[in-house]
Amino acid sequence: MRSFPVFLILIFFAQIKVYAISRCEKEIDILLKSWNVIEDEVVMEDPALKKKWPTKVMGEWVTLQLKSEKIFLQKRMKRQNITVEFTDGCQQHVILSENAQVDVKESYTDTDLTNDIAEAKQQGKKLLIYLWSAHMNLSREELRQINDLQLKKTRLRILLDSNADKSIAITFLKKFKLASEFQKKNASVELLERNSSLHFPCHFVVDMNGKWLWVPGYVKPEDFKKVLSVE
Amino acid sequence: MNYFKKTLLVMMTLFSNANADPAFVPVDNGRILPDGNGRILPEGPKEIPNYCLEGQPWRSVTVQGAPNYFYKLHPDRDLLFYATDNGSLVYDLDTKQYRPIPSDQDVVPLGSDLVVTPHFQSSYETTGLEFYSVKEIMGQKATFPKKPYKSNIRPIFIDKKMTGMYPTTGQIQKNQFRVLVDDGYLKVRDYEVSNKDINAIGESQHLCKGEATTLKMPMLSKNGEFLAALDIKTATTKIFQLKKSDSDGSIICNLVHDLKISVSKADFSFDNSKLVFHKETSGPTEQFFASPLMENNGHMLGILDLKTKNFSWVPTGMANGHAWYPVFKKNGDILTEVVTPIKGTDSGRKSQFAIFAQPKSQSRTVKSDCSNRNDQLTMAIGALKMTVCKDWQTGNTDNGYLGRATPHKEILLNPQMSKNQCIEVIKDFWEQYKQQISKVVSYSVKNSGNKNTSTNNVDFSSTDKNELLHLCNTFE
Repeated sequence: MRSFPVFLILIFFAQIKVYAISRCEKEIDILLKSWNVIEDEVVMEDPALKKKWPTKVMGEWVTLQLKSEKIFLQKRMKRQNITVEFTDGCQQHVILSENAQVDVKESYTDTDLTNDIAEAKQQGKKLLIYLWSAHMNLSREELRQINDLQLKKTRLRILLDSNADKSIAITFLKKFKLASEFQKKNASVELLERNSSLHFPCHFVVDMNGKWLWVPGYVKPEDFKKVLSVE
Repeated sequence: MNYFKKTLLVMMTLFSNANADPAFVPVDNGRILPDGNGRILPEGPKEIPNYCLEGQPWRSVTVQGAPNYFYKLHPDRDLLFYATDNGSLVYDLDTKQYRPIPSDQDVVPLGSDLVVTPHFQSSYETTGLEFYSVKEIMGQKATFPKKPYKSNIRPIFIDKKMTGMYPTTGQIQKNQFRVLVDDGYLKVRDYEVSNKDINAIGESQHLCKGEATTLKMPMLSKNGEFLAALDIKTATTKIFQLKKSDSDGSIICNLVHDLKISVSKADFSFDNSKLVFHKETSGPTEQFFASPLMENNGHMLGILDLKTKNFSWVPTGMANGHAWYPVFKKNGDILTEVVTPIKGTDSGRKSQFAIFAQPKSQSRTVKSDCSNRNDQLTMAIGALKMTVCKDWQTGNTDNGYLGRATPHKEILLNPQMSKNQCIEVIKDFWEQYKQQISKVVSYSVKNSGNKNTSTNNVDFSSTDKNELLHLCNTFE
C-alpha cells in the first residue's frame, strides 16, 4: 500500500507528457494531412516525446516532437526542412532550413528504391532488400547463403552498410566470388528512417500493396518463408 | 596540488552526503583515485570537474585489429572480447595488452572464469560450442599478435550438440550458466560448472514458444531471468521474464514490458533495474544534442529505467553517432564501441571504446535556427563545457582544443549538466574562453541552414557572465 501514492504520481506525470504532446491536435492533423503522411505507419522514437511518419514521397518523413513543453512538427525533404513550432495558443511559427548535400555517387538512393519497388510490382513480385556489413560475421554468412538461393517470386536487392570499410567488403566478395554489385552502399533516407543501420544483417520486404516488413538479424534461408513471407 | 588540498578533497569525498555533488573527485599523483563508483580515471590534469563525467565519455580507448561491430565485456574486469577478420582478441583496458583467442567468432564470457565461442568447421556449418578458461587466455604472452592471430591454448570443453550460439549468456546460479541459441527457434542450454567439470543440464530447451521465430536480437539479463528482444510483428522491443514450464520443461516467456520503440541488442544492468541500448535516430536530434549540426541518422545511447519505465538519453558527443551496442559495467558506467569511418574515403575505420557515466541531468535543447539569444547562450555553455572537458580528457594543458583546432561541424555543443555545475563552469572559465566560444557558436549558427544572416555572427566578447549564470538557473 505504501507504494500506491508513488504509483499515482508516476501516472500523473505520464499523463502530463501525453497531454502536452497531444495539444494543438486539430492544427497538427491539418498539417499532417497536407504533408501526405501515411498515418497508420506511425513510428515511436520516444513514447512520451517523439514520433514520426513516412509520407507518400520516398525519403520524406515527418516528425512530431515535444521539447521543453513546446511542440515541433518537422517535415524533412531532400534539400530543405520545414519546422513548425506551436506556441501555447497553437499559433504556428515556421522555420525553413537547408540540408547539407551529401555525396551519394555510386550509392543506392531513394530514386533507386522507388524504381525497385515499381519494377518488383510490375513483375508481380515482392521486393526483398538485404543489408549486410563487412563487419558482422553472420551478415556475411547470410550473404553467401542468399547468393545461392534461386528466388522466383521475389526481387532481391543487396546493399552494403553505409559505414562499412569498402576495402574489407571487396576482399570478402572476391574471396567468395560474389558479385561486385554487392558493395553498393545504402544512401536511401527511406531505409535509414526505417532503421536500416540499427543492426546487421537487416531485411526489408515490400509487398505489392506497398506494406513494409523490417527484420533485423540473421535469418536462415530455409526460414525465409516463415519469417520474411517470401518465396 | 599540495598534500593538504589532496587530503582535504579525499576527506570531503569520504564524508560528504552521498547525494551531494562534489566539485572535484580526488586526485593522487596525476592519477585520479576511484571516485566512489570504482572508476580509475586516466592520467590528465590533476583536477577533473564532475560535469566532465556528464553526457560525454570520461575515457576512450582506441583498439587495434579492426574489430567487428559486436563485442563483449568481462563481468568483473575491463577485458574486451572482440572478433576481427584475422581472429578474435581480448584487450585489457587497464594494462593495454592484447591476447589472442583461438576463434574467429564472437567470444562471450560465461561467468568470470570461462568464455564460450562457436566453432566453425568449414563454410557456415558450426560443429560445436567451445569453452575456454579466462585464466589460460590471460596467461598467454601479451603482445600485439601478428596476423592472423594464433593461439595454442585448447578448449577445456566442447559441446558438440550445440550448433553455434547467440552472443548472450546468463549466470542463473553460482555454478549454473545459461547460453542462448537462435537457429530459427530460440533455445537455451544450461550448464553446471565445477572445479573439474562442465556438464550440460539436460537438453536444450525451447524458449518463448509461439514467438520464437518473431523475436530478433534476443539478449539475456545477467542472471538469465529476463530476455529483451525485438518483436518483428510489432517492430518494438519487448522484455520477457523467463519461467520453466511445468508441463514440457520448455521456457515460457511472460511479457513484462513493451518499450513501444525499436532498439538494438540491449544490455541489462547487473541488478536488472535498467536497460541500455543504441537507437537509430533520424531527423532533428536537437533533443539530444545541442548542436543543429548533428548529422541526420546516427546512433544515440538510450537507458530505460525498468521501474519507472522512463527513458533517458546519453548524447554521445560524436557526430553521426556511430556508437554501437552499449553495455553496463558493474559500477553502472556505460561502455560502447565507437566506429568512425575515415573521412573522405570509403575504406578504413577507427575503432574506439568509450565509457560514459550515467546521466544525472537532462540534456538541453536549442531551436535549429539558433536565432534566439537563449539558444545561443545555451550553445555557448555547451561549447565552454566541451572545451574545458576536452582539455582534461586529452591531458592537454595548453589553450584547449579550441585553441588548436579550427571549429568544424563535428564539434557538438553539449550543455548537459546540473544547475550547480553550470554555475561552476561559467565562474571558472567564461572569461578565459569567451572569445573562442564566439567563433564556435558563430560557425555552428552559420552552418545550421539558418537563412537569417543577421544572427550568423555571434559575439560574446562583451557578454557578462551574469547573463549566463541567469540561464543556469533554468537548468535542473
